[in-house]
Amino acid sequence: MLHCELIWEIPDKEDTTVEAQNTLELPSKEVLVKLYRDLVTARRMEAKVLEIVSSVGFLSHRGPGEEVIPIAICNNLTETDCFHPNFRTYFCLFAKPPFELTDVVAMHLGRRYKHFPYLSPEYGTIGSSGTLGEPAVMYLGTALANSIQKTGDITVFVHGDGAANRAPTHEAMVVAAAWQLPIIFVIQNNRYGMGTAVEKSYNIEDLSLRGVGYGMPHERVDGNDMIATYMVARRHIERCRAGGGPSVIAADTYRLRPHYEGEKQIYRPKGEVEEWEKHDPLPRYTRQLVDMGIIDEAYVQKLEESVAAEIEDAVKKAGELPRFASYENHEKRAIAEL
Amino acid sequence: MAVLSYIEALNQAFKEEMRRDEKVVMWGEDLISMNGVMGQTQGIYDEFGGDRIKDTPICEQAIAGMTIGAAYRGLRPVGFFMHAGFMLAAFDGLFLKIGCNPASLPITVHGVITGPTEDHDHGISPEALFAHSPYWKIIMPSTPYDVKGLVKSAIRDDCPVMILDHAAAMFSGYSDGTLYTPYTDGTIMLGGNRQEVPDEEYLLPLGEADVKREGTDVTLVTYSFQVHHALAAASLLDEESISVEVVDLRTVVPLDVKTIVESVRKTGRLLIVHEAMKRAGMAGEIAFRVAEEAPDVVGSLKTLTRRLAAKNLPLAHRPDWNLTPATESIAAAVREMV
Repeated sequence: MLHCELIWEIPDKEDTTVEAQNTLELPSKEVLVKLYRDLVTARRMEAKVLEIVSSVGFLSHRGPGEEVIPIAICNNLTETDCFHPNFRTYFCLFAKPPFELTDVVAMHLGRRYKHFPYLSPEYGTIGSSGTLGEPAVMYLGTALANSIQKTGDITVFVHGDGAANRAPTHEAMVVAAAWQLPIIFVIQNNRYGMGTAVEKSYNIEDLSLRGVGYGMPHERVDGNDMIATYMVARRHIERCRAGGGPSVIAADTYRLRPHYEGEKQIYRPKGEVEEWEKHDPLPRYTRQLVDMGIIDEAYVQKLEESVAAEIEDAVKKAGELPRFASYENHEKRAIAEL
Repeated sequence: MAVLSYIEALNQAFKEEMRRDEKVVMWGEDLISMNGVMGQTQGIYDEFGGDRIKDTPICEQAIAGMTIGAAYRGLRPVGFFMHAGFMLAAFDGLFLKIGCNPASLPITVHGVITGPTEDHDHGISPEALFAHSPYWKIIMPSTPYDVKGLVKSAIRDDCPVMILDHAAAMFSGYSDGTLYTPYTDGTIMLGGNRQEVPDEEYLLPLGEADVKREGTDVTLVTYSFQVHHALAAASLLDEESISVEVVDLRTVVPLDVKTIVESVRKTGRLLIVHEAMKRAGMAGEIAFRVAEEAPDVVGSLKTLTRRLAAKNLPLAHRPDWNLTPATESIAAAVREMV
């Protein structure tokens, strides 16, 4: 069931904690159910938000099918840990403490509830970038600040297979490894950098091998397997928090939607999406929990109703908030004439 | 009052600010191992230790990006790029992520311009590139007194400030005879002149020009090392009974248009000199700002405003002073205007 063979390849460097870290302990029933609720919430909320924003012509880069990775990670983070999700999965930020569902719904509607999850530096998010990969060095700065100020917080930087090929991501890995900073690089491999398939931009299948050249422990996990991804994330996060330094995780998944909604996808082989839909993490994790005897059909039905009500409530609350005038601050700080 | 060289004044500014505020930290290439190559960080590691000053791997994008993450997480970082030309290896981070970021980020960066003694990658003056962004303040001092007061203000500023120093000043050495890299052309080390600097603390505001020499016939606006060429040219012209007023901008952004306009109102002639290439350089911007803000002055000019700048050519890897303005060419330009 678990596809997460750990490779701690650090030449000439003995890691005495390896053995302990290799012991994978199945999460508790409570955790498994919490992860399930987060996954269902993310899937339904993303669809609901899309319904609202598409009516105003918003260009959406959607991420259904890739929720497992941010949810598995965020459930292992504290309020003050730093976290950067892949740009497709910002809607999963409600799983990162202290953000709430209404925070995330409001953010997608250009409003602010209690927090603005995209940019809340004290809670570990410092925004992102249209040039994907550049946030690697920005979030590296959070890890450095946490290290200098001895806060005990760690940084998890998730990026796609496309961004993993960009120079700032490499420079971030170089510095993180040289200084042993508390940061984990997670490559969310959804098999496409816009229209270019991962086979056309890599000569390796296991993208976590990027860690080898920098001297960082690395691990590949099935990013559509909630339990495996949660356990791998926890192991790396515990290691990092204990002062073990940086590491690399490659989480394999698949981009079920076009690069942006309405894009023609002329590069996709016929039948590929349909094939991957069979591995969709939501039905897969549902089956897993049913098979383990943790939930049943009636529970699923009840959960769906409860999540739908929660989303309805969040949308209502968010809708009542004023749109914030982001440009006010822009102009206040401008130097000289506008 | 102590008599200091430029590099000593700069070094003092860094040390004083690091003593005053423990949140001030710095990193860059060879800051510890080679004292910043030009000596600007001499003694800082010994006094403040490895948490406050770090040697980075040769990763300019990381140097820039880390300042963002660290600033968001409560530090006041100073990023060193050795040569200003190397900043262009981090243009995304510097221009798009800092220069276009409306958040208040207390970031300072430092780069050195060498001018035509080195190739383009080392020698270029990039101020116009960064002046094009909404939020960078850019200081380009010319004397020990100015650099100390401006750099202290830069580090205390809650917005990003870029310090661009000129090698002719940077290679000025310490009073004990420590000279890091001897400047290739010794005759041109005007910027290395020592100057009395107050023992007590002082700050110079960003955005205030300084009239370095008063005159009545021509207003000569310039900054950085060219100030010394301008002053030398003004001395030559004095013997020919041409009176030149030299306005040292000190900060390129914000631009002190008021001081320029006051001077031009008196002299009726405006010459702008800089070491960066002429096309799309700061001179065009300065001339137009004067025209916009004081159309009456422009309407009563005695002669057309002129600009003297580097030719639109790459710098050769040899001291070719015909490429950039120098004392003789400045004097010649002034003669043509009166």
